[in-house]
Amino acid sequence: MTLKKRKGLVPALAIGVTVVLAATGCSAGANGGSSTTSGGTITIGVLATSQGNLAFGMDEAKAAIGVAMQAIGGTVDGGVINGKTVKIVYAGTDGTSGTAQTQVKKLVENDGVNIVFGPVSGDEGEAVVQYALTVPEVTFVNGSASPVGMTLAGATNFFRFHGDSAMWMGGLGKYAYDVKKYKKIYSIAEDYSFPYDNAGGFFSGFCAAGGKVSGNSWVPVGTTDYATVISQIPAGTDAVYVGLGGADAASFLSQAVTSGVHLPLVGGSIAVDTTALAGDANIASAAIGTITGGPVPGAGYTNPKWQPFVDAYVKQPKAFPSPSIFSILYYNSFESLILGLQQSKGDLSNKQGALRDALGSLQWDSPTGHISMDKNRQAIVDNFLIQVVKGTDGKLKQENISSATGVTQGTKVYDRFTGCP
Amino acid sequence: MDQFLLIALNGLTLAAVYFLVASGLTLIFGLMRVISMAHGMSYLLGGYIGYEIVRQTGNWILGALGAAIAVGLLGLFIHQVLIRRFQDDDMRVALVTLGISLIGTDLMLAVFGGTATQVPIPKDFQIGLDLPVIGQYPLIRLLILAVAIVVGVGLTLFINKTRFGSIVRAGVDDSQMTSATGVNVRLVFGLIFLLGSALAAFAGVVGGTLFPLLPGQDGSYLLFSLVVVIVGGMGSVPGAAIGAVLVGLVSQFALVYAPTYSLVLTFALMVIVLAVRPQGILGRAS
Repeated sequence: MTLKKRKGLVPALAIGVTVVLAATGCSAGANGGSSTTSGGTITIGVLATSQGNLAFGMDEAKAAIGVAMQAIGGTVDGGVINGKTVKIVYAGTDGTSGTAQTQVKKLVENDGVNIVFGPVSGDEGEAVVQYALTVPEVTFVNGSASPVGMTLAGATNFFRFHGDSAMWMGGLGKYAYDVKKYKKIYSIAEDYSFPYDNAGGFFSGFCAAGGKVSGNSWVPVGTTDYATVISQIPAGTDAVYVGLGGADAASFLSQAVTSGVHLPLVGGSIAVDTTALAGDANIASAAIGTITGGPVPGAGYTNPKWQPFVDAYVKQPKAFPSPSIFSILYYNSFESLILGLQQSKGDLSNKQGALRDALGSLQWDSPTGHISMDKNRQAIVDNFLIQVVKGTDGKLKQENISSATGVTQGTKVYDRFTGCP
Repeated sequence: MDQFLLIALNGLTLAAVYFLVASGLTLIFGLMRVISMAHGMSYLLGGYIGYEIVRQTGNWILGALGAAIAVGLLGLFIHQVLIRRFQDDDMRVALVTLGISLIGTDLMLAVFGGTATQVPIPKDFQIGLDLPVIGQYPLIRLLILAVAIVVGVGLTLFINKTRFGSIVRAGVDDSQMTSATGVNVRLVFGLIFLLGSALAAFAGVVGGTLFPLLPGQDGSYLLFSLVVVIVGGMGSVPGAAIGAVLVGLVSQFALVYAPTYSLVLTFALMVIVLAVRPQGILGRAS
């Protein structure tokens, strides 16, 4: 075989693969933007996922920001608050801490944003908090990242206007044991910070009520083949805890159907969210009856601010049939930021002190209940227990079982665990 | 024991999908030595086209054929218009196809959105089959394994036993001599690119039936098929089959015994094979 012109084969392959991997996080959302740290313009840099299994995150973020900005006469690209021009730039990530770090640095160091808004996913959130500690002149408002530890890291410029993932499971463990009579539960969850806390929140309640864990499978994010994991579920298990999200959850549910899993499911906060239910896969027989907890109210929620928000949301481009957990958290957080900017009259002088005071003491009635702040700049919020049911139109929907008001943060940070946490 | 068999069968059926994707790449990259970074994009685009056709017509086979033809023609276009003139310049080819891949996946994100979709299959196929020892097993996975075996055997015979196959092999080994014997090498290479892209698209429909289709899958399938082709040996269809089986088995067993490290182990497999046998398991030493 003559291969004389082929000396470049290996380097070309190496460079190509490297660029593919690097580009998956950076190929979208590069809107650019000029440095505007002074004058009348406030620049907000938004981080959201545009690749990977939460690739719809950017659309959801824009839908949420669209609702909030249109209410004050602006657009997803900006508007005017208290006479100050607000410009919004976007940076896409793939949901990993690596790209989150790259993109948050791009926003702060290249685009010169005054405020960072985001990110979506748990590991990203922890990377962004660590970065926030190094740039005290920039204010960070979290998007939907929910590891417990984020607001316990001591970053005084970091604010979270929604519950953490352990708070979202509050009360569900006891409900599963007492009302659903599940005695033994098998846990399947993705292997990163958000499911640790989410599952930790559930199983600490479930085990305290007397429940047992019949096994844990921590799978890598992006796992699409669950046949083997499903076969690990031991006999005598009453229910399966599904701590998966987005495409991973949809894969699991559809494969649970084809593998003939007939056990009831307990969902992590994003397992049977509207993003999974909106997919085309045949998941109904697996999803119906699933109980879950989280910041998203189901059908039958009567807060007067809820329906107007849903109506405004569905008019946004690329919106789901109903708001997902991501658009709700992004909306509540972005609206909090707008309120903070209004209360501080857009004053970013003195190291953004006025804005931070306003954000740290903010109280308002959101579409999902009253939001107030604790001393760690972590919100005190309402939380919901819900169940997936088949609606009269044959579509899957979530129905409220109960809700809790004024849920505060615990201080336990969970890690990967075996058995009970 | 039945547990072990079940995991092994899961590994084999997963390998079937990997093999289908990699079989196209083993033609384009392994045989023709053209580094196509757009192979993952062909997979994803094929899956999406198949998904649309199946949704409109309800006919899975029509979807698979339509996707294969459409993406095959796109592959032919890419080869003839963008790559052919500097086919031997690896760096340029890699960068051009990388560009195509990035543009293509962003366009797909715009058109199909970021939510996971799956190619629908008739309800009759969504059942479990009672196998001896193992028990209930999803019928669809067994069907996909059968499809992969048929494609693999067909492709091996095509490359090794037909006149066209020998022209391809001759063209790769010495394109000038082959041209001199009166063969239109340009056309032959174009057809191989068409076939490789069509196989990727077909794999996209098959894979999209079992697993979700969403942005990002293009990158992971490109990576997995590169691993499969490199482990199996460049240009060898049976090698790609062996590579796919190894990757499938390693990832499934790792998911049970060392879930945190399942990705690491898959790449460790490639490192070990390359360390022991640099040309891949069935590759010819150059």
